[in-house]
Amino acid sequence: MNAHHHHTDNQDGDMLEQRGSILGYLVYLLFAVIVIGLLVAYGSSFQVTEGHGAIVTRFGDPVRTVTDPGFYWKWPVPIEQVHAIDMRTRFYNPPFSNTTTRDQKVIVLRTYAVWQVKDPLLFFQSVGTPEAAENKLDGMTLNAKNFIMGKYDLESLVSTDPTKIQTRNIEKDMLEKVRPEALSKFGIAVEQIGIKRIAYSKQNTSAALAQMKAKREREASDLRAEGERKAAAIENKGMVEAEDIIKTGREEAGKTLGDAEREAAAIYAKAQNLDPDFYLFWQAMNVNRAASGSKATLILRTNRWPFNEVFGISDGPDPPSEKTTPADEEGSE
Amino acid sequence: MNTQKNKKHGRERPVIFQGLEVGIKMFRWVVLGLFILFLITGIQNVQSGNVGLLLRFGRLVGNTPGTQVHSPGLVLAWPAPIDELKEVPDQVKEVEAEIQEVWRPLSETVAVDKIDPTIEGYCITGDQNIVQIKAIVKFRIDDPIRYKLMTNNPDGMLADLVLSSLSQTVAQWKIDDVLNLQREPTTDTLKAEREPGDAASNQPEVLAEVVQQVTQEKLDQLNVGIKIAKVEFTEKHPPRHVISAFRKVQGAKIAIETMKNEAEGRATRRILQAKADRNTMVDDARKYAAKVESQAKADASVFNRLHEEYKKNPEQIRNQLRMETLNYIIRNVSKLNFLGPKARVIISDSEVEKKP
Repeated sequence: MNAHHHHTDNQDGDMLEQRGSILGYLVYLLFAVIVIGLLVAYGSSFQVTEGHGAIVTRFGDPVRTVTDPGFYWKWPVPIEQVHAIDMRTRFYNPPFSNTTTRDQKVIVLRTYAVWQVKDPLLFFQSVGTPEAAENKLDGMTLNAKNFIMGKYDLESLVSTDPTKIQTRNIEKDMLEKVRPEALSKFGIAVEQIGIKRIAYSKQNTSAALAQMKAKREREASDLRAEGERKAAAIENKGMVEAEDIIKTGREEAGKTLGDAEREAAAIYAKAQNLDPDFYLFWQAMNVNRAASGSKATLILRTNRWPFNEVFGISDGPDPPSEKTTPADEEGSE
Repeated sequence: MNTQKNKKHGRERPVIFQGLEVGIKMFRWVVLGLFILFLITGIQNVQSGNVGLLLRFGRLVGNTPGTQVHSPGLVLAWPAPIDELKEVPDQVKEVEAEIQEVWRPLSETVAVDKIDPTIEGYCITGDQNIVQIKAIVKFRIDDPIRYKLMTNNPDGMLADLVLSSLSQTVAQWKIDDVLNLQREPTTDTLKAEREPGDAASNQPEVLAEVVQQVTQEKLDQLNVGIKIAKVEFTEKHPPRHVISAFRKVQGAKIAIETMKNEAEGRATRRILQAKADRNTMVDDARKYAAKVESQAKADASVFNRLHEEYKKNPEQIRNQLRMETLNYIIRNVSKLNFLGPKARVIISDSEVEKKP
């Protein structure tokens, strides 16, 4: 009615205006359709990212499994739901636990497991989330660890003898124990199981630490003793060498002196040979001189020459021959 | 009334429309502007030092590694949620990760002589000692697609694999070799692995290299896309509970050197002293020998001269010598005692003064 009235008022202008409006409405309508279409498309499509898969469930029942990344259609939410499954390689660390080896040694081992989803549907139906899967892996690796380590001695893991080490076999055995069950029950492929940490139980560490300490303290005291021994040896060697030097010195000195004495003796002998009688006389004189020191006491008989001459006593023997006596030599009798 | 109303309404209507139209026109431009901005957000930049992986609806764009991996620079892409750009450090860039799980600083106080392995990490050596090690692993991303798209937390995985290799390798080494970070290739099995005549067969085994090799094997098996460049150990020591005993050994080693040096010093001094003593002794002997000889020569020449005289007049020379000697003696002795012909002398020991 309004339009009609308007039309009668100003026909030409109205016609143009109306045509423009209709075009405008169409544009808006198209725009609205696009927006609504996008919203609907958003609700009824999904993407699968690289490294992932997806399970589409219709009213809760899985109907489709997608493992190829890309864009997919589905019924909107109340009808169909998408569950993304992370299929990337993952790393899991089960907690520490005590393990007894074949030779009844208790050791604390921590393992790791590298795994990925291989069968998304089975995975979705059996466990659903990585956390739940890791809970299952926990028990499986624990069992495998206890079972396999029960077949090996501790020295197959901890030893300086390379021929005893079996680490790779232990890991391989554990993987073989876990892998088939994980794949058939949970749709996960365990790629690697390894030993990440090797430790003593808390109680055993004190013994290990005490042993380390004792060994090093013994080593230190051994080293000190060895050092003292070596030092003593060095010193002894020095002493022996020094004594050798002194000995050669003494020998040289002795030889020098001996030579000199011999030389002197030869000189004296030559003199003696000249006139032995006079030489003896002369030596007697020298001996008497030498014996009369400043501290010597001389005791003389008054009736002996030359003192008998002084004291006027006649009964002395002849002047020659010795009656003078050296120092404290008793009265010559 | 009706017409009035209509007329009134009819007159007002275009005003409303005009307003709406202006609003819609403006809105149109705003929407267009926003849409263009939205499109522009698709164009992204790959930082230098990185490479980009473009995902369209979640799928990697490109068929060959060359087209899949984008070099640094602008990447033309659709905005989210259509396209997504993921950046990964490029193949040349070294990434570093520190591994502290089996290390504790020595400075921490020691509460008890026990270590709970779930709280404090360590490694057991092949000779059943305990060591604590801090490691740094440097690596490059060899395959960005495997690394970024096919692996969940690859860096964490690498750190744990290094730790695993470290634990396993240390469990085969002696503690002293671990602390030295290398060991001599002693075993025949090791030599058998290497080619005969290989120059490396006498080279010491380096712990970091062994750990790197073992870890790389595990990484390659898992196809994580990581290439290890280097493993380094920034700390390695026995736990603080026993470090004092280890330091005592170090102290003893130093003490040994000191003891040896001191002993050498004393020995050297003793030898030098002995040499000096020997020289003195020999010199003294020579001097004395010279003295003895010259004395003998002097005596001989005196005797010879006397003898010349004596040959001429023996009795006179004898008496002369006797008198000279007597005079000399009397002059030189401290005491003279004269005894009568009948007197006897008794000398007691106390009066005897021995002269050498």
